[in-house]
Amino acid sequence: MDVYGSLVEIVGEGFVSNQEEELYIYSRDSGAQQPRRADYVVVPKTVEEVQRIVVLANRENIPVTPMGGGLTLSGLAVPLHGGIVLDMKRMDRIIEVNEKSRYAVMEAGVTQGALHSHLEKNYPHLEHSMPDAPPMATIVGNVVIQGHGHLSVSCGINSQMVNGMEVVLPTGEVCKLGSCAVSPYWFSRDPLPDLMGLFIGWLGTTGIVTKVSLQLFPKPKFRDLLTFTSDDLDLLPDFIFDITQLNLMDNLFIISQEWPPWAQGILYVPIVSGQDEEEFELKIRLHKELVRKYEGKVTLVEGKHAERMRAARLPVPPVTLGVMAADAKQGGGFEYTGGIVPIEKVPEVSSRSVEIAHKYGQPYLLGYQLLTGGHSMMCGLAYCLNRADGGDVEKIRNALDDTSKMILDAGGVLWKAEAPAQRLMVQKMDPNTVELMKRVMKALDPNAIMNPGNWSE
Amino acid sequence: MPALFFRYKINQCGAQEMGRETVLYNSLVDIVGEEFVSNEPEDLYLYSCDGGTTEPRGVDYVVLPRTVEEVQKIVILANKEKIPLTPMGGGLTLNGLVIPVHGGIVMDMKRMDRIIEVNESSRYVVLEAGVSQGALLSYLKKHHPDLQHSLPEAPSIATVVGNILIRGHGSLSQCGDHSNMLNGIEVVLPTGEICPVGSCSASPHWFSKGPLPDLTGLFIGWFGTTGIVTKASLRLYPRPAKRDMVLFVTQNPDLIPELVSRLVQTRMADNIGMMEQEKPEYMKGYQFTGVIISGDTEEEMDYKRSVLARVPETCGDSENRVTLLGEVPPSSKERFLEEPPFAAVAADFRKGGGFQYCGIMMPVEKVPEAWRRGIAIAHDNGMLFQCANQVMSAGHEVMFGFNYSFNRADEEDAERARKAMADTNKLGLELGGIPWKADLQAQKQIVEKMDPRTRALMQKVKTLLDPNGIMNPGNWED
Repeated sequence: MDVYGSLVEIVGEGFVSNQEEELYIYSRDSGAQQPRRADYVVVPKTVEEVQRIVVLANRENIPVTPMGGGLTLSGLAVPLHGGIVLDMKRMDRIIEVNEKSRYAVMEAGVTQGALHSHLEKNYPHLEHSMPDAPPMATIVGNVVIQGHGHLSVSCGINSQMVNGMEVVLPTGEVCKLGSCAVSPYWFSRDPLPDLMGLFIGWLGTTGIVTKVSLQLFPKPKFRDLLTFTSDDLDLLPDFIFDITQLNLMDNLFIISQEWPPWAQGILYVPIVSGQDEEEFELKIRLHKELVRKYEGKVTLVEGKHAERMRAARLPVPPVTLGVMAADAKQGGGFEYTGGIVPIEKVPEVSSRSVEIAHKYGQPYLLGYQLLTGGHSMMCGLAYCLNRADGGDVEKIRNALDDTSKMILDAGGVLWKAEAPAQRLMVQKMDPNTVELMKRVMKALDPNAIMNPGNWSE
Repeated sequence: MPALFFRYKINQCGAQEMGRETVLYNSLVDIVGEEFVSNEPEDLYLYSCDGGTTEPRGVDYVVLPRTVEEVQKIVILANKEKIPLTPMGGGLTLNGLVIPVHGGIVMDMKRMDRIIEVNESSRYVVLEAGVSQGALLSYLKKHHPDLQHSLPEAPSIATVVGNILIRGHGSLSQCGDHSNMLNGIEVVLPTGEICPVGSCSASPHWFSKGPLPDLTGLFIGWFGTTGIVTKASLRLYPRPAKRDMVLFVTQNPDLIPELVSRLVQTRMADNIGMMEQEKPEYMKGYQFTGVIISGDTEEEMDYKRSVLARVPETCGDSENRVTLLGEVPPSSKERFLEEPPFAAVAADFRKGGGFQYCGIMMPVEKVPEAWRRGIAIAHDNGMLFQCANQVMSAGHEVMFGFNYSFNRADEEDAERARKAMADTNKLGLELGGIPWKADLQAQKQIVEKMDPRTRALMQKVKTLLDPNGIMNPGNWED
């Protein structure tokens, strides 16, 4: 039987396609990467179906690329060497919420929006850390790319919030990782040998995560943000240190963009929350008192600009910088380099980003997010593009390439990097570490069928 | 006795010919110098036992390297000679994890004691594997008084790296366990390659674990069977000006999950712990739940106290109440607020210096059942019940510590403790929990209960990294 026929046998005719009009959607995303062809798209419903597809792919030696929301913007779920795209969206069950031990177990197709609504409706006192992404981004996708969310300062990044996984290995075995390997409860990543690392950050090259247990957190009753502005870029590391030293915020956005003009300085936007008004007001006051010590070098923004910021950044998920500016040029294209850098490198990275944007005739568009309690900064250096204009797309690709090189040069690393940027990182990486990566990939995926071309030299 | 005993062990690990011993010894001397290697029974004795109930096991050599290159040479030698190698931090797990199961070389990391860098802006410290909790605490207090690390409730000589690798927790467990605070490591693989892992593999800066393929997992929780961590970057946190403790009392463990849930929901705690002990008599039958709070101003502290003071109203009913203890006894403050916390306060009440505990990680809702059955296990084995528990991260699980003190000079007493430990591990697994830093027997119980495909993956990883099986063999075996 041919591959198509075998896939139909596994998932049913309604859930596999090799038709151009459907493959088109899976062969590109909204970023600046060139379209790449997918040969089949298949939408499984159960882990057994995933397993059978993997076994088939091994037998036929055909690449498999698992896909969540497909929203990385860097083409990570667009196959580099064709083959099958495995769209997880039908595996959309929220299996369990444990209220006392605060976790949710769900399948890989569950979206941020679906979990958010489920919790709002049934567990209004709990929340998960929700990324700055469209609600159709998946929970599992964000975990495995080491994404962050609206609790990243107070509670850490999303890959830290995983209690357990079920994963289909590239050779077809279904494995449970974390406490669920030993216990009926998905309550802990501890205290076993950590196998979960094998599937986090590997961009689908080591296996397919089919379920995850994610930690939930107390949801505050009051939330608000403050907006501070400053023109002094060099002050940034000290100011971030002082404001995180207060230890009172949930999240911190930093925004600097050429348009609108009032956003040209550096805007600091801490999110604070409280279980009652008193807590909340105390936190607001302590932040304002800190800023007063900066005597005019950092100032509080009030009035209509503060209201605009509140309208944009306070919702969970926020109206992202991307959405605000993504379509400035029309044509629906948007991509950014996510450089994760030490906080003291942020001024240098910011100045050099502005230079690169201007070199390519682009307005600068910087959206940063502080990671964990002030341990590093995700610098989103964004560009809009007109996808209908090949010249524009090419130009932005070059700008992204320059930006990636600049980040690496500044000692940063690249988050959810597109294939060319992955190569830059691998080239810079210690050869022993590269060798170890290769050994792990080879051991798990001897036929190299899993999203091949990623994390390669 | 010792001389014969160790000769027997040497035979067990395959070094039959007298000549080989000398060759190995001389090779180790060549690597680290004569002062830092020993095969003398009086030195080996210290490495063949710990403070727990584990029966002594033979060690053939102890070696104390100073540099990563020395570690590398020792690993290459051990591969060539096929001799087991067990890396050791403070040696304080109490579960014999660094007492070799099959003899060979113990690699004591304590001379690798450099604090290499503190980055204030990005709040991390890079240090070598021998740096102790106490050394880091003093260093930060002296040079970076605004910063702290999460300090475990362990003697000061426990190492920072050791605690990361066993997934220990500390005074800031609200931010996760130590393995969650890791930015990167340098590791010597079992085959001798030196690998940086994390941002340091592609950057001069040790500021982040991601967003690369996560290779740190290969070395966390494996008890030294996958490689030797020689450096680590650990996150640091703001050090508040003030710390205090708020204490609650209950007389029914059924109230604990609700109490913990309410306390976590306030988001006021740095750390939450629970305990009960049957001696002194007046403490018997009471569960104490302590919450550590911190802040920079008295106003912040007062606010946190006032929020926590309202928690008892929201728990229990007229028959079962949570009571706020108005005045926290100085002994509790000493035990929980001092840095380092005075962990040994309850350890030696039987005299004879033996102390061990079963730390079972479990869902919060399993705590009451563990509590009741824990009491029964202690009594059935002729021991007193004593527990010290820790809430992990934002109320996501509880480390239930069942404590057993015994007289090490009294073999019957040690045997009772051993039996109680085994019963407790069994109970933990039955409740759906998992023993933390499990001793050999508990590891075996865990592996037996583990999904067979997960077991196979574990063994695959071990074989991949350590083809000759030289690294702390006997641990995590199938």
